[in-house]
Amino acid sequence: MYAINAPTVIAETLDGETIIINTANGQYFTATGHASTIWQAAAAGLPVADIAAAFAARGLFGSHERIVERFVALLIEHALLAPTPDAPAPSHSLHIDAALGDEIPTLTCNDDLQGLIQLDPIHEVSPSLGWPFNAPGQP
Amino acid sequence: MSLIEQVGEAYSIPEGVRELIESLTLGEPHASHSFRAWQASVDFDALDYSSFRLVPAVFRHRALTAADTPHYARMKGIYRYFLYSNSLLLEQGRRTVALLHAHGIPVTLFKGAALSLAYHRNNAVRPMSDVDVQVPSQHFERAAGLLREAGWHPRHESAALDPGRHSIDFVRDDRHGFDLHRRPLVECTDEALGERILARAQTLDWAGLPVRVMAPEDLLLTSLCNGLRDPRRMRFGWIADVHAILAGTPDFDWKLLWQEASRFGLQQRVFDALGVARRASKCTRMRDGLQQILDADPVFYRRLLETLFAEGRSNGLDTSRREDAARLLTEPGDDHEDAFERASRLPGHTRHIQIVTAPSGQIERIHLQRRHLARIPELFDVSSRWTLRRLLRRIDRGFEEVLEIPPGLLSLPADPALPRRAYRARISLDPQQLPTTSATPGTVQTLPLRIRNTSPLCWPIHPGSPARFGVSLHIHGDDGRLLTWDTRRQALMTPRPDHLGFIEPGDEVACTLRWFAPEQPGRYRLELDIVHEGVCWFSRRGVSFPGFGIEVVAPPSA
Repeated sequence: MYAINAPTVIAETLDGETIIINTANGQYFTATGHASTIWQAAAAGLPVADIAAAFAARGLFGSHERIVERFVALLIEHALLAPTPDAPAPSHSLHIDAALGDEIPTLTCNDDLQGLIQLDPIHEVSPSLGWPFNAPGQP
Repeated sequence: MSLIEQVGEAYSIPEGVRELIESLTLGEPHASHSFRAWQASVDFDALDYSSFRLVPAVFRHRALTAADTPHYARMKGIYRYFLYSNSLLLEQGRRTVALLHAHGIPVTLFKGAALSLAYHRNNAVRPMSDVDVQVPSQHFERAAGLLREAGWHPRHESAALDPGRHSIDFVRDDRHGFDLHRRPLVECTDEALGERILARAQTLDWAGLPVRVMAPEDLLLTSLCNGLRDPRRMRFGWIADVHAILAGTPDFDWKLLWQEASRFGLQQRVFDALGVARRASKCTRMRDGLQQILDADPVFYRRLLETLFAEGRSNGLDTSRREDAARLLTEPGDDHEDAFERASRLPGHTRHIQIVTAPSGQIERIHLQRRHLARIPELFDVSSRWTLRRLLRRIDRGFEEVLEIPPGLLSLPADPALPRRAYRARISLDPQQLPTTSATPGTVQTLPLRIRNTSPLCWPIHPGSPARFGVSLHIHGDDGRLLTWDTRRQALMTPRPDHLGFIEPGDEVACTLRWFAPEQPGRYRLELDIVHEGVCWFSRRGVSFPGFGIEVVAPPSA
């Protein structure tokens, strides 16, 4: 089982988008859709096997594909999750949005710390996406 | 307007900022109404700094969704931005606090980091650019040394070497700030305050690190004092801080707050700041706090009432406040009108006439003290002196008057320039606080002054007019050469909305001029001067004012 790699990792989910920040190196990650679902469950301590089984039960990501396992491994590789012996938070319920279909969970990483901090969150960003997405035509 | 409602009215709050604050502080449906009003009028591309820093709190508090928020994407982006930048800053701050703890230095967290930890429990809601900590005075130098060893360096090296400095702002190359305080406020010169703060602090868990956080009364004191420190450049995020502290502290100790404010002579600033916060947020707890302060401190209450009468702003007092004023201000043998009249003539105050305008913009009513009736022709443009004389002949005796003005009879002068004879003044220095003769480069100096209007005419400030009266300094080199004309100005009076303010002939007002010592070591001569903004300098009208010499000396290297 795993938990968020506190205290250096901060995460928050807003409107289906999970933002994960590694304060040790300034890396900024986003996970949406199934990726957000897997993150929330894994960070709450649900065993990876249970998460994978839940997806399989919904007809998504057959066990041979190991989609969930590979995504969690990616989170560990980036030091966003760390092993924990603690039992999972009983309040966390895993809700899988079947409307997303078999969209492969992805983790987007932005490691340009200077660029992120210097990007004007009002004038230099995409009006439809906001920071940290550049406005069209902005380098 | 009641007494409590008048508190802080001299400080105007931009409409958009007020709407954002209300969207955080009011109950429903009023909060939603304010938020919709803000959305409808905001020019997001021209978002002011205060509003920008309020966006994360509004975004989270109102649980905004894309469906009902026109600027949703950029508001969410601002939230993400502060989640990112604050998280990096706070983790850096946490590690630094851990370092100080490891060396036996007790640390108390305050300002943004404390608010995030104690009240918001969220990294994004309260934007910040540094982490503020206070350490007891005896540990300050060692803490500063540890910070340098850990890769922090003072933002202003010369200021950091000033042994009396209340804090040092440290930065790292990655722009994070860590402000080390020996005292939480520059005004709080009592070294024992640090021990009291430490004793009252609560211990919280900061991502596994136990850390002391200032008690809510100390947090509120610093928020209020810092919030109103520079009214000309006021930002308004502190009002949200004040609200968060009170909302998170059901048993807030107003007596303790006032006790500490009183120790350092900060009562008026704290009271005014609380009034400003109340006006912006409509928070009933702030109103109740103001009332509790008045109930607990009759000396301050009396002084407040005296000031209202001295400044000509007593006409809005309701019956019960007038009864309080009569009780507190009347001396044996007086009737209350005598007491009010005496208070109205107290020296050292700007006087006021309240102006009520019709929708057409014409003056339809003025409220003033009877003794100022004779000033009307001097302070206003009068279209018909005959009509004015007839109007004044009809009024009853009374300490205060409300004059209904026929349309077009009175208007504010379009040209703020006064007759030449109005530009006469005397500046006196406080003999107990003469200007320093030696200073460290770039350091802030304060100079208490008394300015007397020695002319036969009033010095007016009209509502909304930029033509204020202020005092400033000109800097000359040792050879007499002018180096800097006009440094940082200090206004002699604070304009109040809907009031014409004026300093009467013979009246004297006090102010404190803050200025920066030149950056280059050397000898300088500083000349005081008074400006009527947009009109003239008194020195250019032939008036001489005191000057003084100063030597700027670089501190010895560390």
